[in-house]
Amino acid sequence: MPDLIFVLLILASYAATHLLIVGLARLGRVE
Amino acid sequence: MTFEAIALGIVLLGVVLLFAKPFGAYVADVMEGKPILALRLGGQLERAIYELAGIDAAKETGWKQYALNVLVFSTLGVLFVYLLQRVQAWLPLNPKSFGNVTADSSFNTAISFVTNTNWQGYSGESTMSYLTQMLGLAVQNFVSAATGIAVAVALIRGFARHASATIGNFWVDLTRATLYILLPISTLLAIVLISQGVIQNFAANQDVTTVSVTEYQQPKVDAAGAPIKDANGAAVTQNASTSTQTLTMGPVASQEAIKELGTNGGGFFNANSAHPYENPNALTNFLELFAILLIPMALTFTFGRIVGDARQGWAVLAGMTILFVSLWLVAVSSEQAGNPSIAKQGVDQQQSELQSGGNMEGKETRFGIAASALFASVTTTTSTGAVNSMHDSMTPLGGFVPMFLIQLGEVAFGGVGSGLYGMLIYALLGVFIAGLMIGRTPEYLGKKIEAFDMKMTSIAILVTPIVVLVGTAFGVAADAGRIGVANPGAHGFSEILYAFSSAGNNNGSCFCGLSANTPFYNTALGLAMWFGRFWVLIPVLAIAGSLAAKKRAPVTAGTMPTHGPLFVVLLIGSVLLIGALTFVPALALGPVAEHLMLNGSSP
Repeated sequence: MPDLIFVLLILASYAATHLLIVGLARLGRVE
Repeated sequence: MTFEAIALGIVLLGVVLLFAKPFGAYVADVMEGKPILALRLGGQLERAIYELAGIDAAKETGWKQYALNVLVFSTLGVLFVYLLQRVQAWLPLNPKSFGNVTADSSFNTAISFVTNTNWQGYSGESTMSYLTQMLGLAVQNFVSAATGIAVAVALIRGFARHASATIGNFWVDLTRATLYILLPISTLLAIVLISQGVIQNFAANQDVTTVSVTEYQQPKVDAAGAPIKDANGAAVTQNASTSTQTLTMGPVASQEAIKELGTNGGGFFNANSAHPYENPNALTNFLELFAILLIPMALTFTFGRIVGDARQGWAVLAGMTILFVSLWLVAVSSEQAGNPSIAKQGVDQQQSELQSGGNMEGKETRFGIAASALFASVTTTTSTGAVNSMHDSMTPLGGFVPMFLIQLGEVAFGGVGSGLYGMLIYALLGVFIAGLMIGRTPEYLGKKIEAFDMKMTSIAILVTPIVVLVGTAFGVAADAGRIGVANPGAHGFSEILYAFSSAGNNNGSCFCGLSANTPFYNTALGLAMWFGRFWVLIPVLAIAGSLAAKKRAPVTAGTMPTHGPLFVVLLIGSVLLIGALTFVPALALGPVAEHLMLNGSSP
């Protein structure tokens, strides 16, 4: 159970950072 | 402050500078793929790696793909190191029969080593198998440092190129930084360290007979093993003695070299570079300081070489050096001055032939005040975090220096790669502020700095303070955060503030009064390290992409020169302005309050 929580936390951190890249790339195109 | 302390610092900076210039040129040639001897010798191996991994080395990418590659590579690294710790008990190279690391500690350590932080909630010699140390932690020491170099070079290319849609190939940059820069010098340094007494073996712990019998007090226990207490509730103790000592063995030197060269800082032992098997004598101490500073300083020359104007690199280096020297002098003079409370009791704290003098609490006698205060300053002005003394035991002002150097973003000289790209972000901020003052569109190295670049700069600069201050607020507010504090009051606050500053800025050193190997701190600091690393690194890559796409503006009479003293002052001003505005209120509650309390206290 703890493993599931921490692996999900790693994947969530990845997802949040992936979204940052996508968001900044979109902002760059707009500007 | 003593002559020896000043001389040691000046000699260190001088020696590093001597090597950094040619090494910086070498790094530039390697990363630009120039046909130098090293690349010709390693070409076959390099090509074999690309073939094995299915990489097209000739294909460069834009910043978005570059950032995604960094992210995917790092995430896979975290998952691998996490898994390795969770199953180490069943894997080979575990002669001490350690069990699997707990889930929360594995999470923290995996992120810590992948992000080049090397914060260590665990005690290495009693937790990690040799396989985990070597295959998990040491490998990440190499590739996390190589990632830093790759990102810094990508940003430099952004300045150097014009009208370009690409900033490089991450896989090629990562491979070259590891193969031609980190591996050769780490191997060389490891061999030198072994010659000086740093151990390198796969043996289990060794029990040895000590020179004299040690007598000590140990708690008396009942038949069930519970401690016996007296009528007042105090533990009852009994005399005991021992003539044996257990010495921890392991492959230390191979990890020690890259620990310093990659500005990683994660020690094989819990005591880190204060342990005689990691740092046996004054020479190894000097070599470790040299190794920490070499690449960060060299990268300023790499920058000057790739952008085609060596003076630009010198200007950045000058800014870094002035910042570092100013704060190092505060640290060393505070530690040499000693503790005023002890002085009031008539204790001699003056330096003499018989003693270092000053505040020797938490310091090794083989290093003394000068080498300890210098190490504390060097390890926190870079993102290393290795320690040869305990920062928690420094005087309030002495402890303020490492904490403030970390909070400034470790830009003088900074981590491998991260120091240079951090400082260049401040350079962009500096020219932006200067542009506002004179009403011109800011430029740096012929590139106009526009709205998108400044938005990215703002994100890169603001993410870390948010992580640090919000994290500290949680640490102070939560029961689970306060329970780990060893010293209540201002010093306890400093311990929490230092922990989040260290994690958020990817330093890894600690104010070790804090018991941080708890689910709360392992999780919170793990997240602080992740966001402190990638949410800075990604805007930096976005700036690289934006700058690379721009045309170079011609130099005119109105262009602000960025290689002179004015620019250096502007650069230092930007760093201090942001650092002071952001962190001084928090520092006032910690080391500043403690300093005032200590100096105002009665004997």
